[in-house]
Order: sequence, then structure tokens, then C-alpha cells
Amino acid sequence: MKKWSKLTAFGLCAVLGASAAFAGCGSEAETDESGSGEVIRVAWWGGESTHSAMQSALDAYMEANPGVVIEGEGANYDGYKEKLLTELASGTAPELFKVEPQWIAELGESGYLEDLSQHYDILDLSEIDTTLMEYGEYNGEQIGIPTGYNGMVWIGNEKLMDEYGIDAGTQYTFDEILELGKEIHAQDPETYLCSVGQANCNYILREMLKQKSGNQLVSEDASLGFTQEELQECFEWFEEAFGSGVFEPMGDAELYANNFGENPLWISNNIVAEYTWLPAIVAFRSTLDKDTTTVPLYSFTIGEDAKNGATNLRPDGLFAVPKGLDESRLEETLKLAKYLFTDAEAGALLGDAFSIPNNEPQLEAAREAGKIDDQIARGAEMASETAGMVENVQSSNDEISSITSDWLAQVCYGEADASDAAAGCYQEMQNKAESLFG
Amino acid sequence: MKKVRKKKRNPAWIYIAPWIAGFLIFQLYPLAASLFYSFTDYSIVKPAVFTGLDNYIELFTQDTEFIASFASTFKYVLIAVPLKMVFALLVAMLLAKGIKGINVFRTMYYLPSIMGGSVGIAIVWKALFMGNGGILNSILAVFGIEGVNWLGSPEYAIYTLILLTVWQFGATMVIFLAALQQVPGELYEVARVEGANKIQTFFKVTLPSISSIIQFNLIMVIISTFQDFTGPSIVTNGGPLESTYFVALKLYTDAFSYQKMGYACALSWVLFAVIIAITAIIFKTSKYWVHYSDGGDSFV
Repeated sequence: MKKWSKLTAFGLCAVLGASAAFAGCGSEAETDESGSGEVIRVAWWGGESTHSAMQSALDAYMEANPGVVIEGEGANYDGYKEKLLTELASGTAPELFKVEPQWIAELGESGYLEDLSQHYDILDLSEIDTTLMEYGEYNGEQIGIPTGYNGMVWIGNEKLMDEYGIDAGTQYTFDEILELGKEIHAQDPETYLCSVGQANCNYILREMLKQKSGNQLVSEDASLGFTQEELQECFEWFEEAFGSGVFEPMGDAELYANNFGENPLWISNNIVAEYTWLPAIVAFRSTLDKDTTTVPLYSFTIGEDAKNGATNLRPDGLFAVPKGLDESRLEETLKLAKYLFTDAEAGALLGDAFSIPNNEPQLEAAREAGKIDDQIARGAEMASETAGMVENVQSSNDEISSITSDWLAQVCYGEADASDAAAGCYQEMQNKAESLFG
Repeated sequence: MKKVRKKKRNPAWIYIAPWIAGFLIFQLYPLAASLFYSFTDYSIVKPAVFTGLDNYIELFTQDTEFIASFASTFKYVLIAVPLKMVFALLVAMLLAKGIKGINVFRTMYYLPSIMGGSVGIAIVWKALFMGNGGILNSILAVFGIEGVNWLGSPEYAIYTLILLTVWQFGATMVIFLAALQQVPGELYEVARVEGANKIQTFFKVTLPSISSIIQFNLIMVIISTFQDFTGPSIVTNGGPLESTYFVALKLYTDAFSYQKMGYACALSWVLFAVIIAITAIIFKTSKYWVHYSDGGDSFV
């Protein structure tokens, strides 16, 4: 009898286990419960304003296409990639989803994304800026549809800029910024010209290196595109910037790296400028007092001998479609994508939710609808004027980027001098590039 | 006629069948899969490719972050675990005196154990310990003491996380309290009659009586502290300068940011081996300091 109870128990385990396993499997393609069509899921990240704008565009599409049901999945950036990759691996990814430009290479290599160039009969992307289209290419396939123009710019407190005589129309050199910053900090020790966290300092460093060398940071053959001396010069600049009070101490700035608008020094008008992505202008402006506004500033240049533009102009993101959708679902998804990223009506509804639209019809429509923030638009113009080379896959690799970030942080915190840091960083980058791309 | 005596069926197996099913699916299978993947190059979006011991070799010979993260984790464990145990025991002893409102106090002390891992608490911790305008520094300023940039300083950031984990001593305290309440009163009576003072009573009666529970709590706290992720992830994000880049956070970063799932699995097994080794040492040495009232055949 004991044996029989054990057998019963194990049988019960098997049933429970099988139930759990089948419950965990991907479900069949969802259908609208009303039976009128299929459900298309769309995923993206962003703030509330982005979610709201995107949902209104999706609602408008559904109204015009009663046979289609679209489920919008707006999310926070944190955890988005991890969730997406898990969904792709398990075959449960949304039909249309946003990705970062630097994810294109690994997603392309994975083979999970649809080659959209095979479907230009439905999805006409000819109006989109070809420079941005490059960010969605992998091995000759177009696997991503770029969204609006984005780039890192300086965002300045207009009141402080007037007070200290900083002109928004001037592209300052890094040396001029050092002098300006020292003057400002000397006048008021509580005030800093700039506040930049570790990650954004790394972005500045990368632009400096490309300007000095004129090359990608890492070439396709895994060699570094810059010299150790050039790297040391950049580190020395940061050493001086943090050491002489041009930049807010890294330890304080880093606390607000992901929510700079809440930096007490920014709110109290003690930070002149912050380096960040274009769409952040609105968020930064919102925490200042009502009679203070923000203005975009040109990215800094190393001077006349700069061999590359000062700004890494790129799309705000790209939208991709997973491979393996059945014909009707794929067609519906492509039609939706065409509407969202090229249609004027969608442009008017989305506005600058995904930064400045990258094609004329949507840009015009967004302007007429009053949905383009003037400062974001001006920032996009500045970024376009000073745009540098499109970064290659090797240079934008996260592991490569973290090496420069970590060594630069040591310099910024005063834990390592520029010379030692440059030597260590250069060696480590060479080794990593060789192991990844050699 | 022969009487056929029916044996009683043992329903225990049926009762624990759901747990067995859950264990097999949600613990044993992932464990086995993780061990397999630790010997592969696997990134979720690409099929796993068997690479033998490459991941482990890279961990111990090439990954400078690995050594640094273990060093910071060990420092964290060495300070946080004793502090947490001591606080838990002290508060449990206070509550064991049978004070009024013990249930309320017990709940209040337990709450941080539930809330401690939340984003809200992480935000509160930032507000408490930030350099400019932080609450702690503001209080120190009232007494004329200049505060430091607790969260922004590589030297001090780890202590804010130690404080966060020690603050969550409630779960450990509840177990200590239950153990203290089980200590026979006669032992204290005998000690009093024998003329023992409070300190002697604590070391000669209380501690030995609850030593098996101390052992249990010690092992549980060590395991959870080694695996701590929420605090370093949300409060400090492993910084500044990777001073709080503990093993659990490195594991997460390798797995999900760098898409090196196989490598992260190898790291998780190394962490497992370290924890097992420490636990084994505790068990091995327990014969010298763990006392069982029945001579060692069962827990008190």
C-alpha cells in the first residue's frame, strides 16, 4: 500500500509537472476575442508622455482599421532589454518592438529579426533619412526601422548662461570650457559649469577620441583606432575638469545620473549645463523654477584640427519585427509600422515622442500640430550640424564601452592619474577587442 | 477464514507531491540547466556552444572584476553578518523579557525585512545618505560635524549597504525570539541560585541553549548576504568605482547586460561553491560550540 501511495504521489507529480510545463509554453497566436482579427503587440520604452502619444497613434490606427486589435506595451527602460531577449528566445516577443541601435548587431547575429528590405512593397521607408537607416542595417539586411533624430547635446540653464556670458550659438572647444568653468567656480564655489555622471562622461570621452583620431574606436579587424597618447590627453582633460571644479564632483553627479532633473544643484541654479540625450531637455526644464528655461548647446570640439564631428547623431531607437510571423500577421505588422513611422497622421499624434521625426511628412505634420518642442528641434539641428561618423558595431559594444567607462571613472574620482589610467585602459581594450572581434 | 489485515496507506507522499513537483521544475531543473550552461558559450539569443572549462578558466585568470567583486562581497559579508546577528539577538532578548505590546514591537522590527528590498526603500536610503543635502549630513551639521558623501565615496558607500542589510534584522530576530522563549526557566533559576551575574548567565546559559539556532541563523544570514542584489543594484548600482559591485550584481550584469549567460552560470556555481565551503566549515566546527540539550541527536 505504501508503494501504491508513492506511485500515486509520483503520478500526481508528473501530472502537475506536465501541466506546469505546458502552461509555460508559448501560446498560439492570439486572436481578438470578438473574432474580427488578430492581436498585434507593440512594445517600446519611454516616459508617460511617450506612452500617451504612442497609444493615441495606436488607437487612431485601430479606428481606421477595425479588423485589427493592437496591444501597446509601454515600459520603463530598466529591464526592457532583458525581458525582450527572453521573449525572443522563447518565441513570445511582440510583433513590433523598439530596440537600441547598439543592440542591432547582437540581434542581427541571433537571426531573430525579420529582414524588412524584403517587404518594401508594403513598408516603404524611402522617406526616412538614409543616415539613420544605416543604424538598422546588419549584414546587408534592414532589420530595424529608425525613429527620430537623437544625439547627446549640452543642455544649459539659460539664466546662468546669461549671467556667465555663455553663448548658446557658439561651439566651444574643450580648452575654452576648462577656462570658463574655472572662472565660474572661482566666482561661486557652489556653482559648476557642468554636471556629468560616469556614463555620460564616457560618451564625451568617446567623442573626443573620435575627433582626435578620425577613426572608429575599434576597427573591424579588432585594432584600436586611437593611440594611447590620445587617450591620455583625454584623461588629462577630465582630470583637470574634475580637479579644478569645472565639473561637479563625480560622486555627487553620479547619484542623479538617471534623473538629473532632481539634482539639488541643478534645481537651485548652481549647474550651468548637463550633457544628455536630446529628449531629456523637457524633463530637465520641468524642475527649474518658472522663470528659468533651458537651451541646447553645441557639443564641445577639440578645435580646428578635429577629424570628426562632435556629436554622435543616431536614431532615438529602432523598431524591429521578429522572424517567423505568419503571412497575415506579418502583413498587418508591416502596415502598422508604415503608419507609425512614415504616415503624416501618426507624425502629428506622435510628435517628438521618439525625438524629432526623421522624414519630411511626419516632421511637417508634427510641427503643424504643435507637437515639436522648439528646444528639442533646435538641439536636433545642432546635432545634425556637428554629426560625426556612424559608430560601428565594434565600437558600440557594451564590454568595450565599460572598459573606458571604468578607467575614466577612476580618473574622475581621483583614484588614478591620467597616465596610468591610459596605459591600463589601452591594454585592456586591446585585449578585449582581440578576444571579441579578433 | 484468514483475516486480511489491511495496512494503512501513507498519504504523506500525496501531500508533498506538489512540493516535489515544484522542486523538480523550478529548482532542480534550473540548477541542472545552469550547471550545463556554465560549460557553454550561451547568450539566450544564440544556441549554447559547449566550451568545456573555458568560462571557469577565464573567471580565474582573466577577469579582474571577478576578484574585485568577490573581495568587496567578502568585506560586506564579514561586517554585515556579525552586526545583523548581534542586533537581532539583542532585540530578541529585549522582547523576550515579556514586555507589553511585544506583538506590536515584533511586527515593527519585522517590517524592514519585508520592505528592505523595495525600490522605495532604496530611494529613501539615497535621500538619507547623499552628500549634498542628505538627511544624515543635515543632522550631523546640527552638531557641528561635517558629513561625507556617503553614497558618492568609494570608501563609504559599502557601509550604507551594510546598514541597509543590518536594518533588515527582523526575520533573524523573530527566530532568535522563538528560541529564547524555549530556554527552560529552571536553567536561569539554577544560575541565579548559583550566584551567576547577568553576563555569566548570558554566556553560560543563554548562548549555549540557543547555539543551534545561532548556527541556523548564521548559515541563513551568510547565504542571503552573499546573494544580496537589490541594495547594490538600486542604491549604488555597483558604484562608486565598483566598490559595491558585489558578486550577485556582477552575475546579473554578465548575464543580461553582456549577454554572457554561460559565463554568468559559471560565476553562480563558483559562488555556490564558496557558500557551500563556508557552510561546511560552520557545520564541521559546530561540535565545538553548538550544544543540543538532548546530547546532539536532535535540534533543541
